[in-house]
Amino acid sequence: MTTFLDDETLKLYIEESKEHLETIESDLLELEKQGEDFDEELVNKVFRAAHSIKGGGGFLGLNNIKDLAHKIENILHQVRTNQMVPTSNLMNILLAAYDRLGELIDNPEQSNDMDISDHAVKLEAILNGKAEQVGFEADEQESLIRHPAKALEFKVSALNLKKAQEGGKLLYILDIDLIADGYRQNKTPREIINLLGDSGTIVDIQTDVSSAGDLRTQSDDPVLTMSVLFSSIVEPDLIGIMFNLKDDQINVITRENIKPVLETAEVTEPGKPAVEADKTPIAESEPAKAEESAVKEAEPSPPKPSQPQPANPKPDKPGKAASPSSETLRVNVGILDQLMNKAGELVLARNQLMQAVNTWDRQTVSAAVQPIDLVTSELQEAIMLTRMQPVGIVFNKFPRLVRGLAMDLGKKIDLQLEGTEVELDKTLIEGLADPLTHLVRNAADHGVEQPDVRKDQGKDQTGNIQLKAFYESGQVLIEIVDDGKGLDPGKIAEKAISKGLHTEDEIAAMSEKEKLNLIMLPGFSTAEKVTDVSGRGVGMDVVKTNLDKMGGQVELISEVGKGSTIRIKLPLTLAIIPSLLVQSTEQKFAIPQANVRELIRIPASEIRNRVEKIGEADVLILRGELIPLLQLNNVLSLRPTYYDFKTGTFREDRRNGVIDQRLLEGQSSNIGLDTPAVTADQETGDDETTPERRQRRESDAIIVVLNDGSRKYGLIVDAVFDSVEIVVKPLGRHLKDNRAYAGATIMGDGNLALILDVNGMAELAELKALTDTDQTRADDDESKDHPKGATRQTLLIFHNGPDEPCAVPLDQVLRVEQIMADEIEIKGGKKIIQYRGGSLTVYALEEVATVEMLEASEKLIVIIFKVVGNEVGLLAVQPLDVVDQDLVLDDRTLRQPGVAGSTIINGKTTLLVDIHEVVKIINPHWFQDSEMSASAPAPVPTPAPISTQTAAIETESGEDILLVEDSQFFRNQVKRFIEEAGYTVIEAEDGQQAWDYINGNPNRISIVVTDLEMPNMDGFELTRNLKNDNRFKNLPVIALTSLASDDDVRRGKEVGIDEYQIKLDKEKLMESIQNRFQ
Amino acid sequence: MTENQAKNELEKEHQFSCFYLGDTLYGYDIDLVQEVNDQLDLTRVPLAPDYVLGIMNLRGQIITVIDQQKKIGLKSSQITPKSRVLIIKSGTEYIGLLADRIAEVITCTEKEIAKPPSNVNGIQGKLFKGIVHTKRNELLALLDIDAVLDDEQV
Repeated sequence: MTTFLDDETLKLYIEESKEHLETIESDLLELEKQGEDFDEELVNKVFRAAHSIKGGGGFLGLNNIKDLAHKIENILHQVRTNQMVPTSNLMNILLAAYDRLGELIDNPEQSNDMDISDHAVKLEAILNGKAEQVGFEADEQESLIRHPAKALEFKVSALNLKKAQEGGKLLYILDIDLIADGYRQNKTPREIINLLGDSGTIVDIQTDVSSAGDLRTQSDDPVLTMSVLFSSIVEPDLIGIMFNLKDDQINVITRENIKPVLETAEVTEPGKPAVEADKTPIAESEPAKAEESAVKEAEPSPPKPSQPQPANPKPDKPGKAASPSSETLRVNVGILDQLMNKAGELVLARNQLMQAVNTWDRQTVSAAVQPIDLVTSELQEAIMLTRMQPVGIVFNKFPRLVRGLAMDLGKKIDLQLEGTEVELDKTLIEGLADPLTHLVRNAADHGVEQPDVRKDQGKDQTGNIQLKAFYESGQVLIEIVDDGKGLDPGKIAEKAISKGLHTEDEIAAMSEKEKLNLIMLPGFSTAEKVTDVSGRGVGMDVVKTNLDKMGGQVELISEVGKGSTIRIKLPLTLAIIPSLLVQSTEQKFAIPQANVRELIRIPASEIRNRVEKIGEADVLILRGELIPLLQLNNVLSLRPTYYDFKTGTFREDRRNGVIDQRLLEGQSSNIGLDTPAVTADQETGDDETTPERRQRRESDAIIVVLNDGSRKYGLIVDAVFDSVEIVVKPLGRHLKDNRAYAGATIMGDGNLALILDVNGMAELAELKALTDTDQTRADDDESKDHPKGATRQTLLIFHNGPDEPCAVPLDQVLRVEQIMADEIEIKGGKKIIQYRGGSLTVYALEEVATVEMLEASEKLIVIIFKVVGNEVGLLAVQPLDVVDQDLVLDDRTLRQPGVAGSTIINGKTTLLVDIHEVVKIINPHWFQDSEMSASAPAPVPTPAPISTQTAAIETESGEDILLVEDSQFFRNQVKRFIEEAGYTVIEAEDGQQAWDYINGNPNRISIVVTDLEMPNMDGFELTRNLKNDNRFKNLPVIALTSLASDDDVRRGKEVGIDEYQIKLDKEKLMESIQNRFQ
Repeated sequence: MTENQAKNELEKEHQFSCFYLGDTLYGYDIDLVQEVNDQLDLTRVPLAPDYVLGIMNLRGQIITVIDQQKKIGLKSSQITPKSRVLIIKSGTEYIGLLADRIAEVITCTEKEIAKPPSNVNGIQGKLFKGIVHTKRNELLALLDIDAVLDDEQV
């Protein structure tokens, strides 16, 4: 037996194991005293000790230690799952085994040669007690299996019993309530039986009518219990999950419950098992493997993650951190000496200070304070040093682990360690062990492919796993990189759906990265195999939870076929972090330096060029990348008034909560900000071109570009100060829920600064992970293959009720404001809000269309439009969003007044609101004026365009525009803004209609504005017809298009299209029409 | 319980650290109050619950300062030069409670403590442990520290 004994690891292991063993004796004795009503936590503690010893022994090749600990663990597992009672006999054996374990651990080098067979046999015998009994009975003999909780017996032939128990199978009586578990969940008994049959053997079934009323005395529900004698390799905790049974419905049959028919006395002489045990297979590997495969097989039957099993022992599975006992730490004596010296200096400094204070001399005092300052910092450093340990302590476990795994799995894996010298706080090192073990094991097991597969894919047969640790901007990064098969986001998403963790709609809205990270959701991980290494089931969710606890972040990057990288970011220590101090209004905040990517100052004159508005959202263009901007004072709803207790001007903060910065740029009167800057803003009025408030002040914009792993965004602050090392102090419990802060710190001047949580702030501001959006944007620009009839359109999505998203084309939107519900006044039967010194009429969509009622909410959104020269507001509620996508309008299914139709956005059917029509229904008189002047009433409800209105205006000529567009929605929109400019619009639904019309009214039209993609006759053909006809060849044709590809432009030129304009780009289109008229 | 014990129980003396919120006298068991601090150099915490005045630095510890008056459902306290912060230890953390004015320590026996009525000056009775009629003919309302420090949103 080869042993791999890394000195440091071994020492650490032995030390730790001894600590574990120290308390065991008393714990076991205490357990014995408690008997049947034992303290579960105590058993868990002893179990954990055995488990830890086993795990370490496995790594280090101390097989005897591992085996012995494993056997102890198995028994304790039975105890803690109530399958065994801690009798004194049991305890004797356990104690003796622990003693022996202690001896082995004292002599690790010799341990593999030391004899443990005596203990092994005894422990096996206890464990296999039930099986052993069958061995000496004739096969024909029958046994009675008694229900542990009820008066119910199964008569089973010894042969069947033996079969049911061989290969490490466990015997259960499952009490399945045919009413609660069957009928109410729409399962027939047959289905239940089939389900059971999939993962074990049904030995016998009895239906117990007498159970009515006593099984669940607390409920009046009728109970019809079907008791199933069931044999399976699946462990009790999994049975519960698989069949959705509560713990009290699962009875594990121990040998106490099995009796030969004729015998009544217990057959539990302590001597016998030991003898019989020889006959039972001691070989562990067999059942273990069977167990593994069983777990695998069992997986497909979907457990319901929505119903966590409280008694499931897995979640409280121990990490080392779970043991609360007094921990010890090995400290380099040098550091201790250093500490001692510092302590001496501190005493001296204190004496000086005390003397100095007595002199009352200011200078003497300040001179005495200096050494204290110095010594304190040095002391702090030294103390931190005592806690720092090299990450190699954890890393060095892995070569062996990977080697072993590779051999077991028949793979070739090369593990490279980098940065083993990187030091981390002790607690972090300890906390890392379990998650890293799991991740490395995953990489070897699931990541790296079999050699032949790799060869087929042109990869090196030997897979690579890299384990790297390095410092980066005050944090420690640990990466586990493999070049294996990678993770498929699609499959993960499917699984998440099948497990009911997310709906398909939710998944559809996710980015690839988000999908990948679903793997870390609680309940995602499937049952894990039981191995030496990983213990009983640690999934990615546990990895994430453990790391979260340490303030770490996990990031998963993967490419199918190329491999995966898991990146863990950890703070160097939990206590001190370098931070950037920034100021917003009067208050200073600290931002962890680790999140700061760069600082950007944009001169006032440059802001217009560098900051772009996408809808109402401000986006910084940084080296071709679009970075969303947040304004710190908006995110925090900061009012610029600062409390000053001397003057007593404390004013209660109205705390309007989170403000979505993107929606509030350039305004704010109703948010409680009343700075001069904003007032100026209001006075100047014009908002469409106001990128953001700071610009108005003609000052530079200071932007801190932040990154939290999944998102990148810019934070606009008022000022940036130094980078300082800050001591993180937790906030009190009243402030714990606030996601904007990671804590607070005391600055050099004694003042406090809140530490901003970069991730939390982004969440508060509802900032989406933008990486993918950027990507799509980039893709879009190049994409030429649009679906036919679809139009690229930027839409503002808003909500009326929670389930009914609505959308309007963004370029129709003037502004978006946030108001409080009580700001709405009802005057003259209309809803108005005070706005910019005037009144703004606001509507709810439900006034016009049959839609969900506007959700009652304190905060409302007002989307402001300009309709026939008047500003109107449409009330909506969060969430708001802006999407850019191909718009395929269904103008039939959901068409109703005010709603032009529907389209699918992010997997949801979204109503497309026709604001023009909404206003028209409510205020028809607004339109009468404009229609009179234009003398061509718009046929809003009936889109039969041409024939009806032609007669009256036949004689007129000159300024009429023929609008050819097959989508009613776009026709209405375009028509509206052309009409607003005072022109008369004649509509045509397609080229054919237009051609017919223009032939009938050859002098009427002065410009043709046409879509290109249309049924019957498309825009190209229409143009060709027009240009080939002498009457019309000088008639300007403006083509409306979603995207003009070079091909289209060329084709258009060939047929004679005079100009291309983007659909709904109102300004350009109008400009071009006006030019034509001039 | 013998008669004697019962009697002793009733004679047991309590000391209360008292203060005013508005014109009403309130008190906590003196053991709860670690110190009274006149430092009111608060740092605001944006987006905090409305009863949180801010945080302050108490000898290297960061403590949350709570507007008690607001917390128990009355209007906010005004900070004046007479305002003080009572430092209370709650679990592992210290919490500051703003008092409008500090009053003396009042000693009374168990039997002098009356059960609180269901409503004291418009404040729910469950916030109180009892009422004492002081020798100066004032009503002292004994606040239940757990209710005042409760971090559930009111």
